[in-house]
Amino acid sequence: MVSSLNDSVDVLEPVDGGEEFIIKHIGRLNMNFTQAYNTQEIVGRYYGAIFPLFKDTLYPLFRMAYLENEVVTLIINVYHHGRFKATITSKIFYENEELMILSDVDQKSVSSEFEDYQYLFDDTAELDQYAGINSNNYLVSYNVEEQEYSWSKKMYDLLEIEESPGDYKDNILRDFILPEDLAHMRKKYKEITPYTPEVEYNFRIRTSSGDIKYINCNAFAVYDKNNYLQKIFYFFKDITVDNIDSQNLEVLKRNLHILQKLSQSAFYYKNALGHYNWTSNIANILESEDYESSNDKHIIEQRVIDEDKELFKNFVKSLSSDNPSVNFKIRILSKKGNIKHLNLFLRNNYDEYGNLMSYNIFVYDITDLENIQGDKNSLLNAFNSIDSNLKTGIIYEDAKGNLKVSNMFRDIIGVYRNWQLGGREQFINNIINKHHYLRRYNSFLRKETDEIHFLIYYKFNNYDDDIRIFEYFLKRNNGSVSGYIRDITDVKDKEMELKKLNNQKSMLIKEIHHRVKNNLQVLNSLLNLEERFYRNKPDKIIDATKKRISAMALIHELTYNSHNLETVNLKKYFDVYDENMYTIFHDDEIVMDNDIDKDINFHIRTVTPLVLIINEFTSNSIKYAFNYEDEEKENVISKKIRIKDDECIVEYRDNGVGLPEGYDIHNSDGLGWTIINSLVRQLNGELEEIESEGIGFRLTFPMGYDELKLEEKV
Amino acid sequence: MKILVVEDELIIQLDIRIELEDNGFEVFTADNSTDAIDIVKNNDVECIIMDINIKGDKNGIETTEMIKEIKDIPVIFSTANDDLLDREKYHYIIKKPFNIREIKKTIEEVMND
Repeated sequence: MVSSLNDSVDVLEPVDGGEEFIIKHIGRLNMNFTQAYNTQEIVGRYYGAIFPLFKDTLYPLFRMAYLENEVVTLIINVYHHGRFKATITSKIFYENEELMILSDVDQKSVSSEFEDYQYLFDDTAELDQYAGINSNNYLVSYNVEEQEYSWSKKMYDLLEIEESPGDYKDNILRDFILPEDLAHMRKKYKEITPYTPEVEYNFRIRTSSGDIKYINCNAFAVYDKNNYLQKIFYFFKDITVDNIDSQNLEVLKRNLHILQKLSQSAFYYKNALGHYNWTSNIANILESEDYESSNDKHIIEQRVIDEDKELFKNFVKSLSSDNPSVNFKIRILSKKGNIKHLNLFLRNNYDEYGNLMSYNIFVYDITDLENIQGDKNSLLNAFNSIDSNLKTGIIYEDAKGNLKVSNMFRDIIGVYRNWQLGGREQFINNIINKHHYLRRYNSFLRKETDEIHFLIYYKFNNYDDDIRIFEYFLKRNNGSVSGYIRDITDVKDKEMELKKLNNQKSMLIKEIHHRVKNNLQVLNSLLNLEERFYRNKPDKIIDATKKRISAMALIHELTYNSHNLETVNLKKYFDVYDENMYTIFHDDEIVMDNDIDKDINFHIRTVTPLVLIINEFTSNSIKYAFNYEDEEKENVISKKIRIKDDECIVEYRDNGVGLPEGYDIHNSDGLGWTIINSLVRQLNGELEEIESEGIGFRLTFPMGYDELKLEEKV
Repeated sequence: MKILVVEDELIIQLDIRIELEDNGFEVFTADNSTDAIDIVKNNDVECIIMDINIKGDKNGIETTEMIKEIKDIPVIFSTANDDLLDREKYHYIIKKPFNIREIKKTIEEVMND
């Protein structure tokens, strides 16, 4: 049987269950490859030992034919110096315990099946028809011999360029291909052979408008009968949309959804059409509608303020495939001239070779947050400065829900750390109303009440007179707590002082009313006395009464103007009194000569009888002492008042006619002297006559209880 | 009838005294607590006209309380300040400024009571 086979038949004997194959007959074709061997040396040896290069390729096929009992077809293309020479077609099968390999060489069969493509797609109309006008397919054919291209119309749309007459000589696509993708394309191109005339690969182009597009390419080569390459057809498909994987698309959608909600945010991203652009919110951030549909990557960088420019550059530079994202804060000047604080998140996406594939910029306007932070800081500073002045400690819940206290709060609970360190336990122990404090405070903690407000009486150093009063307030509102502790000791002291002053004033007002009523009664009694004495001389009564009312009204007037509502300055009183006397008597012929210590202030109870006495003296002098017809003589009334050794000494003189000879002022039955003597007695004083041109009296009386009390106050 | 007038304003004291003497009363006068008590102790005073604000360390009410411990003598308070007075205890009050005729009238009321 073997002898009947032609030279192209190899016969092998399977051994070791198909692990090895021993050559029983070698065909001529194989012999051509193995000229170094003698045929006799080949027969009986392992096939793998004679043809080691084929062992890995062929043994699996041998086993398949031997064990599975199948006919296996093997086609081998043979190249010589890179040029295709022939195709060897082999059939492998197992028969009669022998493995048969029948090989046939056919050099002409190589390109015959592609002959029909020779003249296909000669013009672009045919290309478009093939590609499909409304599809994303683009077609290019390249005639190798003529070195001419045929570009389909849609190709121009893809590249976003105008058609030009000389395009058939140029590879109009080459300049749009990203340089980093060219190496990959060349590699795939080399895989094209007459037997593998079709390859598929992806690459990217940058269109005239700068957009990046992902292109899928199916290249199909046509060879002539001699296996010379005639034409290559390129079927392109825009897969940009498909290139965004579904997971990233979801993330993008979610981010965009969030972005729509947050007007402070903007995103620079590659949209579904492969265009990069900003979300419209960038216009809000940059405060200008000019930016609403911007695709300028650098609009943020252009507006970064000078102080932050270096910072911005350094962060951008730091990006790499190992460090693809960075997050930082910068400040920009908005179109309206406002300083804006932005949080930037830059992210670059790289392929497995480290080539930059895409990038994103996420902008978050944190101006308000920064301002709030600034406000918060200044608020806290304000708290800490205000509370130290007001002695008020603030307790509040911060944005994260933590309870915070101002410095003064700590100081008070401390308490006033400079005085006494001890913390809360010591603080509680020193509270006088401790049980009340704990009951209220614990009730608040147990949420039995949402508000507590009470006073804490705090004893320092166990000294009863060193007590501070704190006002304590806590309020819970929607779960958050705020409140204050305030040292109101000074406030309370002032309150007490005010209350005391108020009481004192109320008493004084009552006292004034009593004095007025009492003095009215004095006037009433004087009228009664005079009514009895001058029963038939009503004019005399009226005249005297006028003077007394004037004198007593002046007492009250000056008392009301005094700081304590109960004293009268004697010098001030008699200065005004003398003026009033002139007015009452219409007499400017009397000279009032006063020598009164300006610091003598008497209580109203003392002043009243003293004034009434002087008033009686003065009235008598004006009525009886002076000879008003003697124009040569100056009529003088002089008063001298001094304080000496807790006694008040009042000297009254005039230069009138004086008292009648032998007149006894202490035993006079005249009403005037009766009144004067009663008033002197009321003052516990003594009245004596002194040397004078006219009349002269010295009244000496002790400083009374009221005056001594006044001096103590002073 | 013996009347004690306790008044530290001596003009008022003088007025009351003259008015009462003119109406036939025997009048004793004092401007402080000590003198008033002494007069009560040493004389058969039948009625007292008492000012509240008088000289000394005891006022008219305190002096009256002390006198009541000695003798139960009717007291007429003459005062510009009746806030301190227990109205339940002391019914006879003449408010300053008063008409001198009220004194006599009130004494008669007290005597008839």
